[in-house]
Amino acid sequence: MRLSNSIAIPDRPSLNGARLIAIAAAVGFVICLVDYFTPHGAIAHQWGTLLVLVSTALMLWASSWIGFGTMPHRLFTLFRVLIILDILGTAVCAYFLESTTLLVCMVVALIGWIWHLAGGAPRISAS
Amino acid sequence: MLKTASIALAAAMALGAASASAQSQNWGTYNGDLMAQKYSTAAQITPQNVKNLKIAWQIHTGDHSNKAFGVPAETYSEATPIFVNNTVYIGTPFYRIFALQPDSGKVKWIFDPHEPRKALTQPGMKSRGVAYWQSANPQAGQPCQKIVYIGSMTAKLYAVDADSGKLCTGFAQNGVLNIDQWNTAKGTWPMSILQPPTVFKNMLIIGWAGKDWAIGSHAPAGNVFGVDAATGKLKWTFNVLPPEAVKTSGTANVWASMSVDPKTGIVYLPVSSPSPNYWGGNRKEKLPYATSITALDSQTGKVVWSRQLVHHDIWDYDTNSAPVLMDIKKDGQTIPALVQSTKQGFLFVLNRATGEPIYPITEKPVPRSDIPGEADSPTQPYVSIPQPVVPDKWNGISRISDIASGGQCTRIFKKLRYDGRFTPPSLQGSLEYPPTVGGVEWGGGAADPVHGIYVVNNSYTAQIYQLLSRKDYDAKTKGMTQEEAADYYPQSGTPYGVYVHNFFNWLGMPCWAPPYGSLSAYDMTTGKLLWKKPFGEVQWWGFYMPKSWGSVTIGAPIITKTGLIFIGASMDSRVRAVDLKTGKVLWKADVDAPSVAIPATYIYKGKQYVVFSAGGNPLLTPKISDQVVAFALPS
Repeated sequence: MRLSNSIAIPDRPSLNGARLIAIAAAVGFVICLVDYFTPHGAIAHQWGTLLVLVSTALMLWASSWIGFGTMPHRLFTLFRVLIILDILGTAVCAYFLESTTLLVCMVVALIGWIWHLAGGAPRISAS
Repeated sequence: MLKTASIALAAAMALGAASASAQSQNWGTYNGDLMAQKYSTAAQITPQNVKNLKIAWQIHTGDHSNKAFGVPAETYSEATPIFVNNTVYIGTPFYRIFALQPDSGKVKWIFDPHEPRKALTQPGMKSRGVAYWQSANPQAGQPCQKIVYIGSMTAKLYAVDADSGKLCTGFAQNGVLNIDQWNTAKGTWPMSILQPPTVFKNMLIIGWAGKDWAIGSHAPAGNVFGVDAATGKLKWTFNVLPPEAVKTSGTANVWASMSVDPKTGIVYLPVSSPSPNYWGGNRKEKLPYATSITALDSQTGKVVWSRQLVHHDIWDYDTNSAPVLMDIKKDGQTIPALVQSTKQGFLFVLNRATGEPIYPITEKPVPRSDIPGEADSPTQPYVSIPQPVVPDKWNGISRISDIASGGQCTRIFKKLRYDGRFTPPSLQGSLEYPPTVGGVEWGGGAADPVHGIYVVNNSYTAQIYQLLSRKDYDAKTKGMTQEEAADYYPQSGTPYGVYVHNFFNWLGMPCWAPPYGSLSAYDMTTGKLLWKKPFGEVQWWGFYMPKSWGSVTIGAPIITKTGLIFIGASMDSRVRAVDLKTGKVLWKADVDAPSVAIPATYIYKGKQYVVFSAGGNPLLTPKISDQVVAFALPS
């Protein structure tokens, strides 16, 4: 079996972890959306807010993929790495935007990522 | 040393709190009171409960615009609300007056003079608010026994009945006094009344603002007027410039607020620099009142004393705020003093009866101008006690800004002339630190008269002044739009135009190293600094930069008897309460835009309110608003 052709299928703990990341990302996205459009808000219409809008949207999409979809194993691993980078980057942005709720969302997402990782390696099936 | 001073201060405050004089709990003037102390004896909000402050009421006046140089023009909301006659009065950048219910913000009446929405003498429309007078012998049933005044950019002063909001027809011409009738250079620009007049007894003392930084030698002389508060009749004129200087110079006007000693009736004028601002070759006469503090008899306009703070000013270092009058206990004596904050960063502490310095002022040699025809002064007044709010030397280039711009900051700096404070403008471009934007701006400082403490916020900014020969100026500005030419000033009638701009890189980042602003407290009995802390935060793309950077500040603090400082002023659209003893921020709240006006505090029906006008200032950020917001403790 060639690894590059293998498909990663998430097991139960991985699925729950990914769900948690997705929920945290979705909540974070909504918070950013509200912040961006709040008239006279402290971070309304700011590039930084737009950046975390994009980063949380990407996190939601990527966590949905690793949680619910199947993909080549290498891509699966890449997504895991990208998601943790996204979580950490968004958390740093949240800190400097002084958005406590977004920061809390990223802590939850981090817990989800660890949970996801603790689920062990995904089951592999040949393509 | 600072720690010891803080402990001493805490002890002094504990002892002194009980003996605070029973001052009014109104907020009757732009500066709180005539002495410009910005101090209130209101004591309901304390360092212990300030964290519970909540919005009590807010209104949006509708008077704001972000259109630059158009109609309507950009707005600068700098009005301090006043609380008198059981009413909160506030002026707007469209020169309307709002009379508000003090506990709900409900509108009682609005006065609208229907002024043109044009920025005639300033980059935008602005008002610093209203003034109030009431008759000492009110006639029952008659209107205009209490009057609210607001000035406009077209040089009109409106007198409005404080109860009804209707024009007082017995004042000047049907309630409107045209200050421009006294313009010595008609056809240049109107003498804009952006700062409310100073009211003492039955006298209005009126200064005005213009466009002196832009226009050159032919400008109105900066005369100050004493006008009858009830009738609008001219009582006296103080001629700031000698007659022989008026042909080639102008201004040296009083555009900032003034203070009055109610015991002596002396009014203290912060006199600005003469025109043209950045080249003085055609004003070689002695102009002793230019860039000075000048004390006048408020009833006659006669000079009591005057002290020049910058000789032959070529930096636009206007004296730009009302001197704070406070008594200083020193060597067993109580000295009637004043503290004058300045753009150049010095705090001048003078005996307000004589004008003599309480802490030494030293004449020091300064860098000389190399511009042909300039007649710069070889020395300038320096103050070392109290410690200047801005140091003699700048902090150097910001590494982050330099790296981000590919070394642009360093490349620009290498081409500039910089010899420290008072580096004169030059053809190559001079780095000015502090420049005309300060230092300390027009809010000035605040005083706790009980403990002899003076508090002031300041900015650390760097600008570049480059003189351009007339030929170069014309070539450079040819074809520029009004917005592109916003930092180019013709100084017409002189051999040089000038390009004055912030030292930014191409990304719009400041090229000078932080901090950008701070808040300081001084013990004026010793002149010692008690504490100095970076104040406010800078936001870039929404991200808050480190607190140690602070923020450029416009606005001023107020102090309450309980040892609290309330202040907006920072770029981050936040208002704060700060512990007077330590400088620690105890409370903060987001408002719609930077609150660049002086806050006000008052007690109404047993409840203390702190009111901020959060209108913004495009000099800080493009974020502007029309919000007036009052905070109070929950019932």
